[in-house]
Amino acid sequence: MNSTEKTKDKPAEENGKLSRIRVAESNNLEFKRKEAEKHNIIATPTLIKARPKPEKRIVGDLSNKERPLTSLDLEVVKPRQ
Amino acid sequence: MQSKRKKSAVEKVFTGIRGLDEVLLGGVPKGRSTLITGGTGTGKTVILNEFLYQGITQFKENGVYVAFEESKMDIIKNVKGFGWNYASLIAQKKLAFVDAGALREMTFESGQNYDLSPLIERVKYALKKVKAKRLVIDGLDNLFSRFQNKDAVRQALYQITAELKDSGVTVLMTAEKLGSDKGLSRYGVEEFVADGVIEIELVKGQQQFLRRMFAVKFRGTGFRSGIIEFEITDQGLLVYPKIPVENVVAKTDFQVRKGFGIKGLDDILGGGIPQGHMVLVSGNTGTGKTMFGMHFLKQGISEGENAVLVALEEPVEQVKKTALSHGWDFNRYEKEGKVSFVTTNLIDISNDRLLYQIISAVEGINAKRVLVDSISTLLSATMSEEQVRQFLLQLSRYFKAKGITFIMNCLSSTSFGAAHGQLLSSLVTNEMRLSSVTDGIIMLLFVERGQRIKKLLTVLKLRGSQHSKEIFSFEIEKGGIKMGEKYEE
Repeated sequence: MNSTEKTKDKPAEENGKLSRIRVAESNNLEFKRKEAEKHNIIATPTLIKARPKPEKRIVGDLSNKERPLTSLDLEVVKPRQ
Repeated sequence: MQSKRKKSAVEKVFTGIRGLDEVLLGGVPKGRSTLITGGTGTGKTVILNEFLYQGITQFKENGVYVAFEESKMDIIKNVKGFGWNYASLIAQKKLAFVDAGALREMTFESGQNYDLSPLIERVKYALKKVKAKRLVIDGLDNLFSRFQNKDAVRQALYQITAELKDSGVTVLMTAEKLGSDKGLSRYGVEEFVADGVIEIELVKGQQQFLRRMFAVKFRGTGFRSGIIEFEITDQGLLVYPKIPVENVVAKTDFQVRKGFGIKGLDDILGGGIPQGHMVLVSGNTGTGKTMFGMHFLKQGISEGENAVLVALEEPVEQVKKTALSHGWDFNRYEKEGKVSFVTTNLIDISNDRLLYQIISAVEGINAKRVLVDSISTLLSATMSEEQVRQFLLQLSRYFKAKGITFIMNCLSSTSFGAAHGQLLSSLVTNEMRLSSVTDGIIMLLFVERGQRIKKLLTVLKLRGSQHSKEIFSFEIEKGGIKMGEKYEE
C-alpha cells in the first residue's frame, strides 16, 4: 500500500482527485464490506481509474510505477526540475 | 442398476426445479456445494437462477447471487423471460447480488501480490443482509481466467465454501467446461470445493438440440444415474426424470378382464385383456389397428375408466373425426376429462420426454386404459430399436405398478397375401423382438381369397390366460368392428 500511495501522489496533484480506501486495513468490518460493495472491489490492492471514462482497474503489486500506470492509460509525469 | 440408493445422514434441499429433485432423490445436499459444469449455452445459468427463484418463492429460503459472468442488470433482464421478477425480490430483501460480472473487461494485473478477501467479505455481507439460505456463484471459471494467481482464487473459494458448511447455506455454482477439457471443469474447481457435480451438455439431434444432464458424483448421497434429458421452457427448466425400474410391484390381475366391447372378441380373449397387461396389436396398414384400440378405450370410458390415447400416427383431430363417424364422441369425452391425448414432435423424439408426457396425462385423469398408436412410429422416428425396447420396458413397469392396461399398435409390413396354410408366415421380427416385453399379441392380417380381401385376426399370445387359438375373420363397419366366423381355408 505504501508503494501505491507514492505512485499516486504526483499525477493526483497535477490532474485530479485521488481517494484511497483502506479496505484491507480498516478494522471496521461493516465499513470494509460496504466500501468494497460500493466500488465493486473483489481483490486488494485495487487501483481504479474512475475518470475519464472508460473505467480501468489494476490489481496487485504497484511498486513498479510504469506498468500499472500505462495499463490505466495514464502517463507517468516526471517531477519538475 | 438404475439408481444408487444409500441411506445417508446427508440432509437435502429441494431445488424446486421440475423433475430435478426426483433425479437427485430429494434435491441437492443441504449446506454443501454442487457444481454445474458444461459448455457454453447448455443452460447452467438457468439452473442457478431457478434454484434461487424457487428457493425464495416456494420454500421461503432467501438467496444471494454472485455474478462473475454477466452483470446484475443483464441477469435481471434475462430472467424476466421466465416471469421471475428479481427487482421486486431485491426490494423485499429476499435476494442480494454480489455483482462482479462487469469487471471482466477492465481489470489488469500487476504482479501476483494480492488477495481476494474483499470478495469473501462481500459474499458474507450479502448473505447476512438477506439472511440467505441459498447461494449461487455463476461463472467460477471467469474468476480463474481473470486472476493469474490461481492459489489466491482457490483459497478464496475454499474459504467461502468452508465458512458456509456450518451455516447451512446451500451452494450451487457453475463452471464452464470445454469439449477438450479432460476433467469436469477447466480449472479443476470440483476437486476442492464441490461435494456434488452435475454435468450438462447440448447434443445435436436431427432437427434440434437436445439437452442432457447427468449427476457425476454426490459425496455420501444417492442419485439416479444415467443420462437425463431436460428442456428449457418459458417457465424455467423441465427435467424428465427416468422412472426407476426397480422396486415396482406388478398389479397384474388375471381375474379382472378389460374388454373391447366387441361382440365375440372378448370371448376369444377369455373375457378380455387381464388388468395390467401390455398387448401388442400388430397388422398392416388398413387392417384396423386403430379401430381396435379405440374400441378398447371407448369400452373403458363406458365402464367409468378414463383413457389416454397417445396419437403418434395421425393428428388428434383426424382420430376424433374417425371416432365420431362410428358414433363415439371423443371430443366430448375429452371435455369431460374422460380421455386425454398425447402427441409429440416426431423428429428427435425424446424417450424421457414422451414417458413424462404419457405419465402426466395418465396421472392427470387417473386413466386405467392407454393406447399407443403406434409403436412403429417410434421405430421409424429417431428412436433406435434398443431405445424403443427400453421405453416400452419402463412404460410397462410403470403401468403394471398402477394396474393400467395398455395396448400398443405395431405396423407389420408383410402381413399381406399369405398363401394357403401359411397365414402366420407374416410374423416379422419386430413383433418377435418386442415379444418379451409384451404380455399378449393380437395379429391382424389380410388374405386374398375368392377375389376378395378378407381381414383376419388371431391371438398369438396372452400370458397367464386361456385364449382361443383359432383364426377369425372380421369386418370394419359403421359402428365399429364386427367379428365374423372362425376362418377356415
